[in-house]
Amino acid sequence: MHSLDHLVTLLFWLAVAALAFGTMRRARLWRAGAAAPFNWAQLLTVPRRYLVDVHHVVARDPYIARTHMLVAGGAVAAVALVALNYGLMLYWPLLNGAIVLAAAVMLGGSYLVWQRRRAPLPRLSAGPWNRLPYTLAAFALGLLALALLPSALLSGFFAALIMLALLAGTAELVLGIGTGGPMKHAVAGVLHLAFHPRAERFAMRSTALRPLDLAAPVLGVEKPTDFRWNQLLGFDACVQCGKCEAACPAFAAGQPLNPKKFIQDMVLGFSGGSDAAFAGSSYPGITLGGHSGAPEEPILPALLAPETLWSCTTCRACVEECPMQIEHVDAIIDLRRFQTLARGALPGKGAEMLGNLRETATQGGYDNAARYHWAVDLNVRQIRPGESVDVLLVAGEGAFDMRYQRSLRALVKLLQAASVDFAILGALEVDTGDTARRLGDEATFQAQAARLIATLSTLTFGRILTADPHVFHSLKNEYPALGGHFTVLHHTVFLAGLASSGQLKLSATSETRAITYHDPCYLGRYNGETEAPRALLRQIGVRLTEMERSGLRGRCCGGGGGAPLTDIPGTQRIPDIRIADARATGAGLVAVACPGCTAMLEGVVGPRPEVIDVAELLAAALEGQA
Amino acid sequence: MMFPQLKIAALVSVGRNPASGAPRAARNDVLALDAALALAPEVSVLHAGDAAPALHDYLAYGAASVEVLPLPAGADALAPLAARVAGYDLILCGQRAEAGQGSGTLPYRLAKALNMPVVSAALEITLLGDIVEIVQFLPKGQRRVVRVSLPAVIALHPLAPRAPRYVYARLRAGRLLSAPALVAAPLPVSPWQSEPAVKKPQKLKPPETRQGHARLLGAIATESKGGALVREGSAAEKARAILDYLRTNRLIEF
Ligand code: SF4
Ligand code: SF4
Repeated sequence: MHSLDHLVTLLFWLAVAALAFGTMRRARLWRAGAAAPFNWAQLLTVPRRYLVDVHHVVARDPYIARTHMLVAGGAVAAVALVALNYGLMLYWPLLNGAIVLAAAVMLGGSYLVWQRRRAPLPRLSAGPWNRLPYTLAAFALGLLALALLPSALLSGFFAALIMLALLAGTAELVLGIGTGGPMKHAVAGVLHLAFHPRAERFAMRSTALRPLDLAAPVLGVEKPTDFRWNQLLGFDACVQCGKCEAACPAFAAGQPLNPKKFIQDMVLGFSGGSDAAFAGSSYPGITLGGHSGAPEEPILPALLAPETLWSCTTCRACVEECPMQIEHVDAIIDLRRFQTLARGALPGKGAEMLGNLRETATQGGYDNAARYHWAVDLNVRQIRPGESVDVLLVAGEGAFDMRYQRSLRALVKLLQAASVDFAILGALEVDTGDTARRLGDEATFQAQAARLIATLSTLTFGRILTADPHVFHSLKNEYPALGGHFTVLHHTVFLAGLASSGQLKLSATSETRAITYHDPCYLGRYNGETEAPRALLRQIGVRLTEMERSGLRGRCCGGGGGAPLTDIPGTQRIPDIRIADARATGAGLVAVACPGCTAMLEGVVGPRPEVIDVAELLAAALEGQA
Repeated sequence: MMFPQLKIAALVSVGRNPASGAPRAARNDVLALDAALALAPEVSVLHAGDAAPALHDYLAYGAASVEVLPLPAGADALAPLAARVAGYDLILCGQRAEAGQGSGTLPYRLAKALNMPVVSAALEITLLGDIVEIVQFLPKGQRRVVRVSLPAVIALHPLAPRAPRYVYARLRAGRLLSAPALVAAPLPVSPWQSEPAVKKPQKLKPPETRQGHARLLGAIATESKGGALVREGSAAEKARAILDYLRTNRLIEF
């Protein structure tokens, strides 16, 4: 036995104390947030959530998956062994052997971290994150030396060197949580997984916004402490990997939004301070250092510029990419709710649209009785109370758009060809209020929802069918919390069912151009439906050329979240980027499945691939057609 | 600048949405309310008529409360309003109502009853002590600055450059107050005559045949709109050319 061993024991227990103290300090900041249910037993869910959900995201980048497995796995094993051997003062040589193994694994991982940071991707943060490979390696090397070399042979100088390396590594590992260093993510990340503010997401695709209590004293979030405490904890889990930044369409378009910076700003909000030290990319067009926050100070505009808040298309690409399972969109909507409901501070045409909704039940301020003019000559039944029908077609705002009426008419043609028992909602339809909700106007959303639910409850139908993924999402996922329980289908899903059962007879398409398919965010990421439209296209003999970002990782068209209304300028437009994606595949035609995407992509000027709804392509390929 | 010592009233009515006919806060009156709130923190917001739900919109637009002066159906709002705002320094309202008679005469009649000056078509209002300076709307982009001494009645122009905000939290916090009934006279007999509308001649335009995308391209390019110039020939030949044009574009069906 040697005094060095005792020193390590001392260091270990000091480190445990520092970690506990730091965690308590940080927890004080989280607990300043609003109440949320809490149960220690949720800690038991962590291993599963880590190994399944986190790993599912991290594994998309095999390099970093391997790296993290080696570093974190090695470190956890090494620390556990040190706890046993040194913490409990066993000092068994056998355990030292195991420590050597763990430390070697960790050292290998640290090397990979170092490699990655030699030429870092622009999305990664620099600053304190750059020292990580060195401190981690110091820890691993210190352990290796400690466990490999018989301490009796060590000179005093060499022993001091080992202790120094261990000290540096340990400091990095345990002080992070208390001081907000990079290793904060280890503690906050684990707790975040356990007490996640949207725990349902670990069981199923969960994208519905939480209903807001319109009688609550604060409507939405004004100050950092208005967030629920587990949301604050979630912000702290961010590792600044910037995967959200790389996925964000608003960031790519040069609009002043960067989801990674947004999360870091929320951290600044509840911990206090200025953004001058932020070591990543700023919001495009906004220089660092001009924003600061404090727990009890309003977040806008001191900490966050309004333009940042209103640039988001709520496409959830950031959420989809985030390895730490952080919920950016929920936080953005919470902030929007306060701005809209308590300040009325929407930019652009947002307020006008909300007024239209309240007064005309349409977004564009149209006469609602004209909602079904597109169908007058199609011999379509309008539903009436007391008459039952299998499929009820809800058109959405697209019904007023002359372009989208073509898609709706194609859909009707398909339904008639497949002899579906269907009817339209006719002039009884009112807007779902979905866009109002994305813009934070929960009051108008809930009023619209109550109206529509009341109408639907007087009617007898089996299922609701819609061609608008936004209508689909709100009716299917968000109305249940307000008492509206319906079976809702998107037209691509419904048609895919008809086609595979043979009820809808399709022949091969006459289309000769190369075709690519653009996934609507509210169908793909919000509802996980990426297969049905592709299956339909295959059915008519289309061989899809996929864009680089497709499926669950598709790029937004720029039309979500009320972004076309708030219209925050950037250096380019999101739909232009998306059309460039399509062009890069060589496609002459982009198949779409959403009125919003159709309008955004068709709004791109200059030569571009043609934009056609899946329903239109199918209608042109109906069997027995002249 | 705020003038807390001034007594300011804003008169508001129930408007109607032009597309749906749904009752709402009249846009012009919202501008008057917003202008009043910019001058003083406390404004008496008055409505003569029923306590209609649409009045809640004015709460959202910033009224702490709306005082409803009951008015029998068909009665003239002038007398109750004049009695209520007597002694006020500044009375603001929209230039014309969106529903009902919408004659736009109320500000004038009110000013006459109260023996105050009246300024209509106000775009901007600035208080200079007990003088008020008003930028008035004139057609074709012209503006005129007028000054009147307080007290005064000012009617806001619908294009007044203001950005009223609809705030749900204010709607939630505000209240409608009902005032005791006051004597009201029936509406004055309208001096207006009605006559049948005359159908105006319509300009015939060939229908747009291009697709949306081509139209968009057309909007950014400067190409000629097509058509031909017929200078030569007899009157009958020229008439034939016009007839042909109308037929090929299906503007006439014979
Ligand atoms: S929010 Fe998530 S994806 Fe974005 S930087 Fe942080 S950890 Fe990475
Ligand atoms: S939801 Fe989309 S637009 Fe909004 S921050 Fe995330 S990636 Fe960017």
